[in-house]
Amino acid sequence: MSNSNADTQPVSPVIKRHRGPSVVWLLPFLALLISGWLVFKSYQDAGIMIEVQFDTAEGLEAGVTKVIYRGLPTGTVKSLQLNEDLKSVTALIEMEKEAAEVLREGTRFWLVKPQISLSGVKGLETLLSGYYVEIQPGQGDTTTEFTADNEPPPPLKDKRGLYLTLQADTAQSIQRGAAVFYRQIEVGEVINFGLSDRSDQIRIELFIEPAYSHLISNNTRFWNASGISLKADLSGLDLRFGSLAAIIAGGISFYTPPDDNSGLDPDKPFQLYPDYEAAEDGIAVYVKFPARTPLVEGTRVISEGIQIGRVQQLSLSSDLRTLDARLLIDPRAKPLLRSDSQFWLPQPDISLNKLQKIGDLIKGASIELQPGQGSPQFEFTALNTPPARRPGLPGFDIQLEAEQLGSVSYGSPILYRQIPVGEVRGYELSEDNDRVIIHATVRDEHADLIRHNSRFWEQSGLNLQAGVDGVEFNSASLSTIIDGGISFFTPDTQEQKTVSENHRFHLFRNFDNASKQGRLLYKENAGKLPIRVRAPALGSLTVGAPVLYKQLQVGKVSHYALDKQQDEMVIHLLIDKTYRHLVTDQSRFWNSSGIDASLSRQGVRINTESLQTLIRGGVSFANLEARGKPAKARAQYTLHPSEAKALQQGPDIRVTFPAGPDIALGAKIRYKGLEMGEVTDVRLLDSDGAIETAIALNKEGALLAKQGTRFWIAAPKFNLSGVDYPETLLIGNHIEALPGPGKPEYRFTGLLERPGDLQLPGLNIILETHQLGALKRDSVIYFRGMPVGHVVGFELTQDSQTVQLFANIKPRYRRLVTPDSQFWNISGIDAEFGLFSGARVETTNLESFVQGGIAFSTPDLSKSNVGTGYRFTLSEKEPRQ
Amino acid sequence: MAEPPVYQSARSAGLIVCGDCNKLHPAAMEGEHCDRCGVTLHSRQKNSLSRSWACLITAIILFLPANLLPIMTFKVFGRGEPSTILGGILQLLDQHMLFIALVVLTASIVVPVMKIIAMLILLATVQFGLQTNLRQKTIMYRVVEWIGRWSMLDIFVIGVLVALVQLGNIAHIEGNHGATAFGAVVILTMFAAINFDTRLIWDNGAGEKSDGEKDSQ
Repeated sequence: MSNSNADTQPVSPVIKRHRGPSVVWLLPFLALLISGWLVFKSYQDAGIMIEVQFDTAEGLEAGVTKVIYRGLPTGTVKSLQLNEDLKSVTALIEMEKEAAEVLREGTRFWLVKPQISLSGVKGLETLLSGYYVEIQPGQGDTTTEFTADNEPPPPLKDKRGLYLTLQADTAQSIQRGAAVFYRQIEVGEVINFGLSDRSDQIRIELFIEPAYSHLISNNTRFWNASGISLKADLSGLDLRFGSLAAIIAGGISFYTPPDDNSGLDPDKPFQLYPDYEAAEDGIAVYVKFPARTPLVEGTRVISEGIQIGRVQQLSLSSDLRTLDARLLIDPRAKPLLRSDSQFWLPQPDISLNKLQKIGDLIKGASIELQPGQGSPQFEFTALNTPPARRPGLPGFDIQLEAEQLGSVSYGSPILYRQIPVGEVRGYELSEDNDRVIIHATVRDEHADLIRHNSRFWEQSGLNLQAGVDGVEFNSASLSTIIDGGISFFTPDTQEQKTVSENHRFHLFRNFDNASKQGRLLYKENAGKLPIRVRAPALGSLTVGAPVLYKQLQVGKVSHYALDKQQDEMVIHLLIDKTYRHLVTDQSRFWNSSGIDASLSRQGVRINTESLQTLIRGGVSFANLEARGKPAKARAQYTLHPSEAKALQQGPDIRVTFPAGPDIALGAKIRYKGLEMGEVTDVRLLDSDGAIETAIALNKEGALLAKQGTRFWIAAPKFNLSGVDYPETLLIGNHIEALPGPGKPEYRFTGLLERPGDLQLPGLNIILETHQLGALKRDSVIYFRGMPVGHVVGFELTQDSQTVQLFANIKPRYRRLVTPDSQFWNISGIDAEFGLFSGARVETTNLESFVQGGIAFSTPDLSKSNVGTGYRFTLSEKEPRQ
Repeated sequence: MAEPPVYQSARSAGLIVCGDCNKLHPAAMEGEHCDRCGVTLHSRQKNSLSRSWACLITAIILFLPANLLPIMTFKVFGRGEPSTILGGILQLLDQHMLFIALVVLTASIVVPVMKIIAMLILLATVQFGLQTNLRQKTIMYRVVEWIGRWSMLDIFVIGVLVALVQLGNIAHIEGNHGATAFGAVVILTMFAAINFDTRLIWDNGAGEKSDGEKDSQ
């Protein structure tokens, strides 16, 4: 640029053209440079494209999912596509160039997903970063096509340490990565597990840290420490568990016997035992059980109450008929395993008489081993049931012969006076198969209780009637109800022969049979008063049922039998010595079994002697009169069906009623509200409905058995003034009686309703009238409007010209009636019509309007009263004064 | 010269108009300072065409990485991939956000492309002295210049997001090279537009020589 100068000639400026490209052109050049660099870089970055086949694209994401090798991202899934077979997915993966060396045929790819367990968290990073594909380099030629594994391959055995192989029957809760513990310290882990080559066992590969390698020797025993092992029985609680991680993730523990110098052969597989106990040593014994035997692995083997082993393994035989159990028996019990030894599984049962059986219930069944003689043997066939005869057991063996087994079972007690003195060992069919032979053992100290004439009976089940034994058993114990049991007694006879072992007795069904209805109880009967009662039927009486006097037991039913005519039962009673004076010739016996319920106006009365008699029956007696002659031995009485019947002293009468209200069996006879007897029989006489009743009168009722006594049926009756005999509505009709004055009489004809000329307390008078009109029974008699009496009945006079009404004036009003008294009928409406007076209607009250009524007036009350039976005339209208 | 100078330019009158205060100066003052406001006087912007070309070509070159490289990476819980402009638009379309996709498409692709094409047309007009549709071309230039300021929308959005969404591993957004390139494209097209002297459109005869002819058309 040139400057203009005012003093000098303007010099045209030298214009220097800037030649060449402008600086601005650096920009596109730079841009080209940058772009070129980018292109170069992207080319340089471009990796190797490989194809990996996955079963599923789950967790894979194009452009996102990384391939990671030893924690280093080495590639990215670029795209995913479904294969043509629609069964797999091919992921196109761009691998870093550096990873080229890894991509060989043996290289394995697998998808890493998060796994959270208590043994550790694996793949936690995938939670945030997403799943990734991990690779494990392999050998072989370079390739670009792979198939992914579903499971991570086992880690390479490239770490320093000890690699071991275990064999197990199951891989129960063992996982890859599960820890290996030694005394609860983690010393290694499970690196892989799978089926063995022959697929019959599980092979588990372990890695033991080098620091702990010396803990393993050939005698090391491994067991599965997974989970919690809880063993509870009555002897205690055994809870074992490994670390929390082992509980959840599984774990393996091992134990090496101390001072073991057996060295280690790392290639030899070890056995993995299912639990700590299984890892222990034992003798293997093979026992065949019938199929369906409820055995489990671990079922204990018991001999003489001591556990000597347990079931190690169970398998079903090929023909499905036997269960082959491998028992692991304590080596110390080896002498018990002889050719005669017997195995069986006792069936578990609920029993109240032995507590250790409850223990069995909790602990589970256990196999019993009965040691035998012979040569050592390790294969057995188990018995179906416990051996019926078990030689060598302490005690006195007896045999019982029964028609049926009943409720007797293994272990049922043998009871003597309700004390267990032995137990049932077993049972079997007799040789000819028509009887059951029960083998029982009585303890040695009680063996002398068994005599040749001892009598055994089954005391089992809920048979309360049989709940009586030789001495004083009131009911079977609860345990025998459930468990069954056998009782026995020995009759006291002079000859008391002892018996040899295995003597065969008969087992009676119940005590009655065993004691010949009680006749064999000699000792018990001594000094007692034997009497007999006859009854048409035995009822619910049993041997041993109590004999009660004022509800005090004074004796019992000894036995019973049919009489010679075979139509009545003769029941033999034994009255205790102390009470024998109570039985006199005045004694009346009745059957007090069951419930006696009676319904009366006072309510329902339920009468039972005692709960005992309710169930077992009983005989009661009472004396009619205090002083009677003492009864002789074997005196005979009648057994009345009820107390009332027994104590009835009045005569039996028969009353015939015409057809009318019903009368039921048991209906009472009442006189003045008092019970005089009871209807014991009702019989229809003809088709009209006439009935004949048999009535048993009681002591007071004897006065009814007189000529002239009248009986009528009291049935409920409704009228305006109330209800007659309202109680009969509830408890049925009864019979009212009115004693007559005559000689003794036992047959009567009854009335359907109250007789008209009933002599009631008060003044009984007779009113004569021409017309009965509206008057009827119970029409009220008024004096100055006040009811003072009523019409009792009416009848035609003998000449049939007039009607005579029988009226009763209540005692307190009898002075109102004098010979001057005038009676008039006030029934109905008294209407008068007069030309001037108009209509006058008169009626007294509603009751007399409907029911009829009589009024009377007495002009002079000071006159002397009239006597009963005095006759008045009943006028139709009120007499004019 | 005798005819009334209806469309006379400053240059044809032998004058230079001050670019800032519009004071007229004699043409001889080319390269000197305006005696009123002091700005350097140029009859036409210096090297306008050349600078404009350079900027535009650079913009065209950078437009490729701007679209091919990812502009930003949005990571939620460690997951997320860098996305390019087109990829973003396709994602929006996938999510049925048609309107936003259209806005982004307009702001990020259509407008830059249109600007580049418009500038190419303008520059070609001047370079090769084309004489057609000069008025429309001037209007086009105005539109290009006006719209330029809005073209940085994407960059603003990325800038704001990158600054705001920084929640560490939970979620964060980072800008990528694509954004840089895109920003450069926008800036360069703006520079190209600024450096372009519209008067050049008219200079090749039309302004001084063909004004009358144009009128007579």
